[in-house]
Amino acid sequence: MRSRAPQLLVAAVGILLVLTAFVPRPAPGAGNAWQGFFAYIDENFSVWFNIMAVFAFGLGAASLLGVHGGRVRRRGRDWPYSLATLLAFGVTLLVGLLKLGGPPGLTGDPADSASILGRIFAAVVSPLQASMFALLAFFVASASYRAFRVRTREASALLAAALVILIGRTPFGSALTQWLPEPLAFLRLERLSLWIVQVPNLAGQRAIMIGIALGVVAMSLRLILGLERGVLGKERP
Amino acid sequence: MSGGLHLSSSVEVWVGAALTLMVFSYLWRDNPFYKLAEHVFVGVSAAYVMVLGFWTTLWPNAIAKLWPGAARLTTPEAVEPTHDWALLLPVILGLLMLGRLHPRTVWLSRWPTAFAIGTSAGYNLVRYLRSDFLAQIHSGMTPSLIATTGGRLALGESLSHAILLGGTICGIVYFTYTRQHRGAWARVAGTGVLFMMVTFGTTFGYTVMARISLLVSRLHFLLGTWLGLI
Amino acid sequence: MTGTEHTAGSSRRATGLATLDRRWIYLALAAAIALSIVARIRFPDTPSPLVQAAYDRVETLPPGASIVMALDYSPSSRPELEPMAFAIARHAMLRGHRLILLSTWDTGNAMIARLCTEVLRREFPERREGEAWVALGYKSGNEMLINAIRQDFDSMYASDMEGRSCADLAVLAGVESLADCTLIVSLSSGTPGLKEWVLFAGDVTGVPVVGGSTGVGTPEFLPYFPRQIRGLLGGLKGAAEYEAALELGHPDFHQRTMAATDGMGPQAVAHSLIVLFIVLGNVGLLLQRRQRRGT
Repeated sequence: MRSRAPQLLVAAVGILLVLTAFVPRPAPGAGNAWQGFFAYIDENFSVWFNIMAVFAFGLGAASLLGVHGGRVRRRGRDWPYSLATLLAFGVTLLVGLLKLGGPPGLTGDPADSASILGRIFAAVVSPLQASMFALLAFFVASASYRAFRVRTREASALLAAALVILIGRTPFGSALTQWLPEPLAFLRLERLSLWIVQVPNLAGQRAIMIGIALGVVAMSLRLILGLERGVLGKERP
Repeated sequence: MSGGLHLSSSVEVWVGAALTLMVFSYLWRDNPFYKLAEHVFVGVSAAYVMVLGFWTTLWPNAIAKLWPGAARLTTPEAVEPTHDWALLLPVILGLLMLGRLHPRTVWLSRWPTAFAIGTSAGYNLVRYLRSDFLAQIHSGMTPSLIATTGGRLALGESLSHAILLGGTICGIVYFTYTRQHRGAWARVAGTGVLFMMVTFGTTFGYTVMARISLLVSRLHFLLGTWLGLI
Repeated sequence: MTGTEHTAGSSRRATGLATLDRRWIYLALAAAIALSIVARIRFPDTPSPLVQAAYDRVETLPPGASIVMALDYSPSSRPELEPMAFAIARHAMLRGHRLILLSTWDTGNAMIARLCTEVLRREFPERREGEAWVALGYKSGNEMLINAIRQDFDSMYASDMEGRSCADLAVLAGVESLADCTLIVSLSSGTPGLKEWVLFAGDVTGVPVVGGSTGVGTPEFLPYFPRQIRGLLGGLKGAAEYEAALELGHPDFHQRTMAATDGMGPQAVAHSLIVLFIVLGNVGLLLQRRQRRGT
């Protein structure tokens, strides 16, 4: 019962929302009760989903507290870092929920640049997030040197496309091949790179997109029909 | 070049620069500075998401609509006069989601999970079918023979269209796993692999572009905003 | 050089290339970018067809058209997407359009605030907040947010970021849902982003979508052009091209910042270095193969 009833909810919600795509939306003050019903669930199920998403954030935070709090209690490996996580979490949550600094009282944007949360964002979140991702530039450079080798026909195709894009999408691309005469202008790197992006790349991307779409449709159907039960968790023995 | 150091006097900039250098220190090897920065990042980010979720969505879209008096604290100019009791349902479902935190109450979290899965499955089925399947087939069905304004064959453009159509079909053949790739079918699938490789090469080129942009911006911050060298 | 010396030399070169410490590569990359930033290397750019299509879409809208601009990115992708946001916002203000700013990312509020402070309030003081533009901000729910406002803005946005009632804002007059907007601009660095705006808004309502994406995401959006996405800005290059298009189309307007155009110089230098790394890596491989054949 505990897993069958939620499974019925998945099916009911899924089927109703599929049907909304086929029921025309009534004009204000017009339409029958069924149209009104489907318009209501189409709009409100999304709103409800958005509200529930906030509780999911809470769940994630509770999980984070559990993992790092446990490590600090047990004095486990690297526990001082976990303590730093907990402190950073606690301070940010406190100043954010109390909207300290910034607009008066509880009004205004919680992340206003004058608020403490806004300043934490500018001084901590922003540089840390940007730097973490900027690190990848170094790893990409290293990978280019170590792993990008012409070993097979397929690898050569990959390498050739990457090289043309890398140079063709910079101003050097135009400068390097500008001398090519008009009949051979299609070989100019900036044009060649655009051609690769818009023809062979597009062919591959479209095949991938169609493949993924079929996968999503199949998976959605399996979920609605109750063929994918694991997603709701295991029944307790 | 403006010449000489003009160090920033902003505390935020100094903290940002220190954290940037702590993260970049990982390039040398894993070290306590990097680990500290990483752990602080996790803590601050998790709390930031929660705070934003609470003040931008839970409060104005649920609490303030259930009890309009609450809206006076945050948005005194936008207080709605009526109670929308239907919103109790997502709030209750959201609270049930927290049941996952204890083994004895995990079963309660199946209800909100079921609602979320049903909503996503219901919408995704239709949206993906329409935009990523039918619309793509529609977009792919372009004539391969293109004429110029003078009525002659536009060779280059026609060739490109033919390659686009052929490449898409070969790619789809490659993704067809229900039939063994043998003989002519294998050759078509092999051509599809080549198109995939060009796709991945293009993606790699664009990925490099993206990552370099981020590094340029970080170095701009260190050299310009922090040190005042530019 | 004798045959033995030649073999020993190429062997050393092959070993050296194969065992090069990765930190030299890191140093070379950082030094090349830093030098080109300090030297302020700058190249002029011209808009590609994808970017020109996006520009033309904004340019040809009738004045007063309502544009929803979603800033779905975070500081990690700000260098690529913020110049696009700045350029498109400037363009919209110059053409007399109305801008509705929102985000499906929690970091979006900070990104929107930067756009408002750096461009809208500073460069277009005559185009007043609430009349010419509004910052609605972030709401949770990802694509379900898009789905909700597709039918009714009021279902999610009763007030703007500052707490003003949306019902009183002139900028939203006649705009009850996404379907009432003239154009959707999605600047996206992941999920939810441009794809979700196409699937849940553009394709359902018929409102044209113009997109901007990080370099990483750009190739996957190509299949949507030109039917489902009417123009596409890809990465920093796309942003630089839009800045160039704006410069060409509105020569009297001075863009106070052109971050993308400024960034393309160091970008080009770094790309060339990466190409050099790829070539060197393959030369090392060739030398190793030759060495193996020799032994």
